[in-house]
Amino acid sequence: MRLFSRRRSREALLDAELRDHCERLFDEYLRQGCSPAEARRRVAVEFGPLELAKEECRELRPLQWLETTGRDVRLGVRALARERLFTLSVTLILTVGIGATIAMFSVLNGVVLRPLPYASPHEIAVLATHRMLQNQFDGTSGANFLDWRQQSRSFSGMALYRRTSASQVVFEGADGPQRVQEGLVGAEFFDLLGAPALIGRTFSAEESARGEPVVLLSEGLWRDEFGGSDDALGRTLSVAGTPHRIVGVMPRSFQLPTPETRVWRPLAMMARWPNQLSVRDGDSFEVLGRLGPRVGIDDARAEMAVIARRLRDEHDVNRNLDVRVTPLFDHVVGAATSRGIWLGFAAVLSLLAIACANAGGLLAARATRRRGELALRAALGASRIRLVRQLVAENLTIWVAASTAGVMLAAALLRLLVVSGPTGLPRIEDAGLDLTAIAIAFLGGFLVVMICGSVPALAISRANAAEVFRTRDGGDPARLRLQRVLVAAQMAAATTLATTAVLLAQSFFRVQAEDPGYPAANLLVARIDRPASPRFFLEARERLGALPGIVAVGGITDFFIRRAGDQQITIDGRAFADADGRLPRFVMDSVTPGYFEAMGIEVIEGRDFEDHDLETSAPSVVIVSRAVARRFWPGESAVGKRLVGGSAPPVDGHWSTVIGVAQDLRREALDVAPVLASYIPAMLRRMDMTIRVAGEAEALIPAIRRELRALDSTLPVPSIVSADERLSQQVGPRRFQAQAIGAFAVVALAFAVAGLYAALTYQVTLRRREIGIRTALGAPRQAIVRLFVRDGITLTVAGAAIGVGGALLLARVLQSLLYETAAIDVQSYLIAACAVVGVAALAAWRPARLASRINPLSVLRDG
Amino acid sequence: MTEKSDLPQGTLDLLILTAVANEPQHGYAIAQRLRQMSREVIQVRQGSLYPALHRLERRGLLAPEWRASETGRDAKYYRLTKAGRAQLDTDRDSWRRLIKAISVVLKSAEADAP
Repeated sequence: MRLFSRRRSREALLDAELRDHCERLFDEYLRQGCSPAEARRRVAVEFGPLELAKEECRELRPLQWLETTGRDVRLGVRALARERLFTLSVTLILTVGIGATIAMFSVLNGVVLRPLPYASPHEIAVLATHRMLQNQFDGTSGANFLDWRQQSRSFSGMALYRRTSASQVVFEGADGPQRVQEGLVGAEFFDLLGAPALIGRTFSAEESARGEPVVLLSEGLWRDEFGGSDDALGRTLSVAGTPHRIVGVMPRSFQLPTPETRVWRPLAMMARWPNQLSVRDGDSFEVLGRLGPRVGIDDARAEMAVIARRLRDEHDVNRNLDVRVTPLFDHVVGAATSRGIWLGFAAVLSLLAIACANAGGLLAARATRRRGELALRAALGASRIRLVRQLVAENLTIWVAASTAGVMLAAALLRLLVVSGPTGLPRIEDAGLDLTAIAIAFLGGFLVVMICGSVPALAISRANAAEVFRTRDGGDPARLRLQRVLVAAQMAAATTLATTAVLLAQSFFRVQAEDPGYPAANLLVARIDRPASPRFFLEARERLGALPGIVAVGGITDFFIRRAGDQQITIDGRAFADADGRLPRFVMDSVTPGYFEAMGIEVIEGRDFEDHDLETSAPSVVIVSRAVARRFWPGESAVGKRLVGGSAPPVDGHWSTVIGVAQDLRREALDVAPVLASYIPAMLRRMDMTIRVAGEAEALIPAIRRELRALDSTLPVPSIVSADERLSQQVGPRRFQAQAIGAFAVVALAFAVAGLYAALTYQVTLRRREIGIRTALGAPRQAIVRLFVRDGITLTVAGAAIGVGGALLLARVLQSLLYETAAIDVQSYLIAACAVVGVAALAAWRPARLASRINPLSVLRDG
Repeated sequence: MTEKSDLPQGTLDLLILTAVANEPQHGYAIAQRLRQMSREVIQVRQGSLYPALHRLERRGLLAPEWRASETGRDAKYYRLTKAGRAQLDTDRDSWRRLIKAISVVLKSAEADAP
């Protein structure tokens, strides 16, 4: 404030000094006999531009550059504030472009580009057993693992861990027993990954070899149970009923065998160890390998293929087995996910390109519009450097505003993505705003703003004022052509995006529209782990059934596990082997009586299971799905037919009799077609309890937990989820893709259309005279409207055609992301192209109307 | 950016210092004096005068004084400071030496001419 007032007074003094001089001069001329008017004129001539003299005096002050720069920025901001619409549009366009790009790049970097948090992660591979006939991946037997390790030369090390789908364990937490995912890992596991513990240490060779009761905790569990205190080290935790000593905590970034793993124990703690290592016909383990120095993944694949062939020849149980070597990265992230994210990134880049073309167009147009103003100021004595400085200050203001807002937008988008998910993307929770992306976006924005905004200004400030005024209405043909090309390019990019979005959306809606076959709303699924009583499910059914709001209770082996039919089935009296000699394979689920009622699936033929079917003395019965009944007994009733699991008729003649046929369903995920399913009545030690409720499902969860604990106090706190929530989570990645690309497409289209609108409006202004003459010569208004609308549509159609070509080029990448939708789906292409052209036609309408309203008289008057 | 004066580089400063050597003057009077002293040969454009005055003020060779003038308005008078007087002496000497040297050169050039 002080500085400001001092500047103000200094300014007043300078003013007074110069005025004093002028007045003395004026008096002198009066004395010489001039009229006052003449005297004033002479003073003006002699004194020259007053402002210029002032300016030079100001330049002499200390810190003057700071002051003038401040003034330039203020001038710039004021000029921007005067053209609020322009400023707002440019800033908004750049903000959206920059923000979306940073957000999407952060996702790309967080999920795909960021290296896995292990030592030399590119050297680590997953070795999986591949069942060739079924084209299925499976666990590996101990004996096969030993042979792989002994015979291969490509790997500097291999590590074993217990197959994850079988690795759950109960530990005694502060709030009672909890069931978590555990990693039972071999001696080489942590060394091979080269990942140190967050605190404490990983297992010693001795602990691993002897199978001592030691445990590593995940960072999350450590914080929940021990408040993140170092005291946890050395304390004991009861795992699987045995006290284990805590030796260390693994950091959050360590996500092997699975991201959900909460505790790690030595593999030697598993049952039947080390006998498991000599089992040949088994699937208990999964294997990691580290490639040796200078060994490529293809070398390793070739070598392992040879070893697998040898093992097929040597051991009969291996005859169907091969080995697949996958880089760990592909295993963790998945090729489809990477492709999807790259697609999203490509989309956002085209959006950014559109935004830049658009903002650049606006900036350049404004610079041209201001040629007059700038030339005038130059003629009045403003130095070139000051003019350029003011323009640069204006552009810098836009740049800083847009970049800052863009970063904030990106942060908000990312937060929305991570928090409100569910996207189902791996590693997304650790994806942060990426500094590189921010830097690149800032730099990119700077280039666009400076090149488009300042270069024309520079050229103008150099130009001769008289020349500028003479060629006022320039309409430089090169610039016009560039503008048209830019508009067409924007339309092309927008069309490609729109087509991709329509395809993804259609695919998403198709998945969404798939009927799971059961009402997923109001269905709760509770994981029940080793209850004390073998009749727990029947008791729970009684007890929960008494709760108001609970309609039916049942149980099934594993509700959410994806299966692809792994049980060979022999059907009485028929050979159903296909051409390759393969027997049909079913999914065989164990369910309790009450399951179908709780699921809300109809038993369309025969009868449902009843409690007496569970008795050991009861005859074996089975319910098959409608798909099974149609395929194996078309045109007749399946009820009363007999089948058995396995590859041969039962030696003891104990067939299972089909007592009912149930509706097909997509139980675990919507985009997996119904499989050949069969159900047998059983109560297992671990099952998912299915609870059909009426009304508010979430509200009942505490009551259900309470009742189950009351029934069995040793029962681990069951996790309870609602089925429809889980189903919609599973379409999360598809929804994310469709929404992200859809949003990009809408924004891109809006930008492109705005660009077209601006270009046409500009042309109308340029061609005022021509239009006026046409009108004067009797051209009807509609003809003029048609002229401009046609022009807009021609540009758009040209762009859209290129855009469709771009979408066709993308089709191969896209196809793998689509569900029951062809990547060259004519309907989708038509929808997208029509949308683009339609919106463009609407945008062309207003400038065209404007043109048709031009009054020939006023045109001629203005010249 | 600088308005080019018709005077050789650096001479305007010397002339201004000379004009205020005897008593403090305001800008208008300095311009008048320079014109009179040079018998109308030297015309200083106001566009150059004031920047030069302010420059000399910043270098501490002139000191500003605001006082009432004969017009009844306050006017800014410039007074030669001690540093200004020293500068004036050095400049005057070097200027004289320069003139002498140049006239010697010119004379000998005339003598050499056939």
